[in-house]
Amino acid sequence: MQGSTPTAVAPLRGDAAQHETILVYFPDEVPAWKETDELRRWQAPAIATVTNTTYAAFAAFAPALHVTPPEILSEIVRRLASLDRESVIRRYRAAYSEEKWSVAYLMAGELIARGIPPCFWHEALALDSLTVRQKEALTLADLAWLRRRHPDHVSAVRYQRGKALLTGNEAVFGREAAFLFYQGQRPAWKIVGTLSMTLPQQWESAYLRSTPVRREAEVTATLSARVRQALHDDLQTIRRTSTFNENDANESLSRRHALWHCSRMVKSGSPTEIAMRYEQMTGNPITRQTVAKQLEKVRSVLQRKGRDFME
Amino acid sequence: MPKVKFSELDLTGKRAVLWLADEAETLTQYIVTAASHVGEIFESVCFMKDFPKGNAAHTTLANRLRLGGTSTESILDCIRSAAPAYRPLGERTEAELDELLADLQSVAFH
Repeated sequence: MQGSTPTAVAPLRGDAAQHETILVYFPDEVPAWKETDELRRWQAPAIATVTNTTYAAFAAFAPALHVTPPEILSEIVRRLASLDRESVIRRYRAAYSEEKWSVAYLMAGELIARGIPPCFWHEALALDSLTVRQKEALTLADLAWLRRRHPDHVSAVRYQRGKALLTGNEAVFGREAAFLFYQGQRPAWKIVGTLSMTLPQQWESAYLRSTPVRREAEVTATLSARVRQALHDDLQTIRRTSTFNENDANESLSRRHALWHCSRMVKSGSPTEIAMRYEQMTGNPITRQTVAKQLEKVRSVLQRKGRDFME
Repeated sequence: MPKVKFSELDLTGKRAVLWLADEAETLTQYIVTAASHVGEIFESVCFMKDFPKGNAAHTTLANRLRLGGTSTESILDCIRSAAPAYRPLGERTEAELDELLADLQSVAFH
């Protein structure tokens, strides 16, 4: 028995949660309740499997993927891996706007595998006028990100269905995601509360955000153009030389604007966290020292303009 | 002899059958016998989500599902007759994936 692998792990139900036991199915054995200590040992391989089955998880919402020949899917996935991040994001945006959900889910799987959070997949989202299918796609992407990138969050989730979403196999994930989504009738903030999502996790999501985070993101989007203009005006005052030409100025502008954007997402103001966000956003690594230095310049520019938009 | 067996479906397929039975207000047995392929079950789910309850197309498919295996009309034919302009899920996805694959192949070629 020790060497065998459970094929499915059912979530706890009713008062079973208090006893910290779980129903486990071993191949060719009668299902049995096991203690949580053993569960932790079993969770690790379950999470490891999840990392390779992002596409399978999406199949629950795009049933056609479920019956698509695996060789076609694997060929697409293989070719997707050779694309650069901008190409994948561009294709995702096109598929999302044209409502080609099978393609959108495949692109989403690739973006999640590359560690790009859903908040950076869209240029702008009209959250108040989403269709049910769009909400479904956004919710699923956020949940798939949470499952893939934050498996440790399971200890913070209060409800067994939420735990199953993070630790179960892809079919369980599909079932629990559908339950949470409830055909678009459950608001995003309620799902956020149900899963006890932290602030950084909400910032990483495109749709699953509480009202304060959502409002904050809307303010950032509104200020974005004005801040960019202020940074642009400041860079125009710097004399161009052979070591700092127009291209360098544009690069600086993009970098400072992106850092300002990321700093708005990190409420602690930690340069390390901002550097991590920046890398997720642009794909370019940056040191925390550079982040601190650049943000100081951004702050002084914005203060000169009359307001500090850093917090 | 039914071509689809409930016990042989995976969790996603079983959930789809249960959802359809609820939507068509019938028993899962009728849904399973009405389908000649698991793809038809997914097609029905997608169709019923696109044409929710109260729509004539929804009623047509629900009536067909209630007949189970006693009708000679396939589910796909029923979908086509209920909404002639509707592109079935399988057809749509195949076209989308073909287009994507061609796109990716052209990228690799360049």
